[in-house]
Amino acid sequence: MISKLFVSVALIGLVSGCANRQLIGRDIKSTIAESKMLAFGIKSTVEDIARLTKDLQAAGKITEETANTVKAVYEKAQKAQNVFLDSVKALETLHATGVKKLSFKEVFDNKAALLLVLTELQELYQSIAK
Amino acid sequence: MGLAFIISQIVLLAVKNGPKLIEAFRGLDPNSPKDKAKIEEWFDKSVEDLRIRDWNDV
Repeated sequence: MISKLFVSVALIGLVSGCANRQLIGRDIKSTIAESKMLAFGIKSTVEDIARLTKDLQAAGKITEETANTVKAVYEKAQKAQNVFLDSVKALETLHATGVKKLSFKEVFDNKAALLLVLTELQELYQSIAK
Repeated sequence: MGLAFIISQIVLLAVKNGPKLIEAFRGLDPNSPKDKAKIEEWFDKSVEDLRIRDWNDV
């Protein structure tokens, strides 16, 4: 419940952030930096969950079936993170060509990929809490 | 008992990693001297170092 609440708060933050901060026209460099901070937070959380799952399984506190469920969602989160990071790389390429501000397309691609990662992360939390 | 332990561990993870995520959601202001150093620091990080490792390598 608490983990669901945490992820929900994060999603609300994302949606309201997109709506309120008028990302279109924003500075690409700071958007890349923010995206990397997010990616780091997601990587740390997801990998911590993998370690926790392995420890719990070794201690006999969760079944192999539960661990495999978490592993399956972990791998989905890994793929989603790669999609997100590829969009960050696209922003880096754009920035290197001299573009300084975000257009609608970059905002949409970047945040849609981020939403995908967060959805997988939410599933991961739910799996481990079962 | 087992469920309470698992939930407590997840809460600990949320507390540990939450501030980084919240800070990123808050956004970095390129005009703020305080945020400028942070933008430079994170902009220079390699995308490859941010990929989630394989399950067996964690």
